[in-house]
Amino acid sequence: MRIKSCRGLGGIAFFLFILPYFVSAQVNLSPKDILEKNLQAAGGREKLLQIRSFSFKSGPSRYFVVPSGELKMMTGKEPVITEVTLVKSDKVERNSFNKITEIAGIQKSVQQTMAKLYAGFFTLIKFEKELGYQGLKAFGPEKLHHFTTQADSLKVSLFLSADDFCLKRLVFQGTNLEGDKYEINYDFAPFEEMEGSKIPLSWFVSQVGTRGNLIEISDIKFNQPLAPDFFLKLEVNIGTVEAAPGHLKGNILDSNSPPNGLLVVTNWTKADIDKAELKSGDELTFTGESTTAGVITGLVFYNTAKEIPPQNQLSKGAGILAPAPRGGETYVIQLFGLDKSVEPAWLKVLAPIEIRKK
Amino acid sequence: MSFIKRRNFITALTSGLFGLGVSKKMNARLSSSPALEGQKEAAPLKIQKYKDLGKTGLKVPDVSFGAISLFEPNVLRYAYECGVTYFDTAESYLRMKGETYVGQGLKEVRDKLIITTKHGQNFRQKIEKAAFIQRVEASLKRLQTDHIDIAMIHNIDDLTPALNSEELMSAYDQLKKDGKIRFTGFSSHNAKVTLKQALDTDFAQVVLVMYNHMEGREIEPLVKAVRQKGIGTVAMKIFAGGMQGNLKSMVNRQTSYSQAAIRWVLSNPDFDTCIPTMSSYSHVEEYVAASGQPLDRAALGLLAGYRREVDNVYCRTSCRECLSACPNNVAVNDVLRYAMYFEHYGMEKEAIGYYQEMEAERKPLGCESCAAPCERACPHGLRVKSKLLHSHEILSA
Repeated sequence: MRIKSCRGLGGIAFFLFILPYFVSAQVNLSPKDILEKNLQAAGGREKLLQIRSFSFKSGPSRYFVVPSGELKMMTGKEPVITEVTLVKSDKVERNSFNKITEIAGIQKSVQQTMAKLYAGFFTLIKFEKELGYQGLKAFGPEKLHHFTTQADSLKVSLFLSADDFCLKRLVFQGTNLEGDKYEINYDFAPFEEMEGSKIPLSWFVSQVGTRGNLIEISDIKFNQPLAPDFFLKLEVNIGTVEAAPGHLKGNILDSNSPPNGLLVVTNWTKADIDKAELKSGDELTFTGESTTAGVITGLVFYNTAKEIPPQNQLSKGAGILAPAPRGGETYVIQLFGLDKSVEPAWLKVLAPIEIRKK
Repeated sequence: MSFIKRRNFITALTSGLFGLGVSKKMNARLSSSPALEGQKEAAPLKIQKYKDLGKTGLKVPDVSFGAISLFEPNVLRYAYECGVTYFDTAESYLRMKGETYVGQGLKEVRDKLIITTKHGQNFRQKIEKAAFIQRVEASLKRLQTDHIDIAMIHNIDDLTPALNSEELMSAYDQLKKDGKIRFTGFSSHNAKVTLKQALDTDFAQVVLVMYNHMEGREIEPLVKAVRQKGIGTVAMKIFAGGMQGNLKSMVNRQTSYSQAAIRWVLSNPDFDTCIPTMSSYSHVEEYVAASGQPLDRAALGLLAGYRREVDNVYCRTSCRECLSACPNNVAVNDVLRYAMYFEHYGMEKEAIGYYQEMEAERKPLGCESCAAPCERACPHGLRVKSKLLHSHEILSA
């Protein structure tokens, strides 16, 4: 009995004796070793170098990225593209409804860093030459290797799992123009193997002070052929608008069927409405795709959401042209009490629409 | 194993001789890279204050863990390492996966912390003791534990049907006797009624109620009374709708809106703890940092700014003034609460799930042609009807 206990104790002592050896050995990986393991976890450096392009969908947007670090983000219901963002190493540009703006400051830094991350297929390969190693940090039982870099004024922390060397966490820290704290956090999981590379299928994003959102990606494609000028073009596809006093021609960008009727998203912006000189209360005639079936009379224009009468005051079959209920660049047509069992023939993405002031 | 070098081996041998404590120190030193030299390590993030949870004998941190929206079980463990020892989940959270995550994340430290879980009841249907015991046992399995510290009836507006259900009360008694449950209680969005009822029953040992800087002032005397009776008090929905993500200037140099909202709740000594939802490592860091912090001008400023922005948008779920005005018996507050989960909590799928489970006659299906007396009844000027129609639209997707 005594011998058995001694053997047991000996075993435990031996275990305690050798345990730190392994722990210490893990800790003593050089930053270079850790980064190499990060690449191996994603399929290896060679595998990553074979990937010529990578694209995925998230919400209403599709992202395209190439190893050079260029990123193009397109939003809209295909073939409609309402917004395009191009991220390059020198600048970030956005075209939203044909309004082109250059993105600067914190947003630019974040977009460029994310583009580098996507271009490296969620490894640190694109950051290799600029990283500082800050050691191993414990998050509960999970140990993460902490690397840092700088994206203009933002400090960027990248955390790799000490177990599988995948990217677990990314944090941007800095201050905004007002001098207030800016911090945005990404937690990546789960990682899944896709065509020999391991990438996260979702991440939780939260800005300091907010609850955050789970971002899920889908429809992942590798090596899609992209036109040589793909990352040069910033064009959107929102149809065309003709505006004259009392008359607007345009196209449908999207539609959906809320319980109280039909909602048609047009490509008419505030500027177009101003050109058409429409005022709240104006009665309009709506024509969808130049067919008599698509003619709706009795449409009323409202310039602000506040002016729209309560729905109980709107009769069945009534319609309004008004700003989008949840904000947005363009105006929407809402048709109430429509028989939704039959979809109107004119209701197609990019189909022409027209209104005339009565 | 090419990275195991002779020097490492000698280091490890030395560490082994002096035990794990020495090894830890050494590892800490070794982990410092040249990049960190001269840089001071930040003080570890820790809960600053613990309180008695009523007369349960349990000590709880002032900031606890709400696990309604969780994607990474290790976040729970990180919170535990930061001193969070009270974790709130429910059978229905994360489409029945919530308890599983809590079990996965906390199994190794289970005996050092407090787990609350909640089970909903449909009092229109017959409740059977054996079936309920089975549900609790399934929770135990998912939580990977042999006992639940606090078992609550989930989301009740009225405690009477629960107390009148012999089968349910007998099941709770049995589970307590068997050591599977330590304490009982309930969660409620109708604290004006249920806290009064809690004063007259021993069933309520811990209560979980809505309380934030925009609603709950009227329940403060009741909270005080239940606290004096020895009932543990826990605050939920402390961010008042969580709409700060859509607003500007909700973070300043000193604090964030979330921290300010936590500090506001903690300033009421009658609450033992609160359960902000922690979904990420950054939430743990942000919310734990609010522990033990008093309300100050910067925090109050943020809260006032939030109130200005959302005053006639935020539905005070516990208000219920519109309910009696509705001719169609629509569960206005529940519908708008689910819409809040959808739009501001980042819980689209869960919100749709909750809405699907709602009885059809409580949904806003007849609102379109209604004259909306709910809007006249709303003391906060909400456009209730359009909010309901919009909620139905998003939740029916």
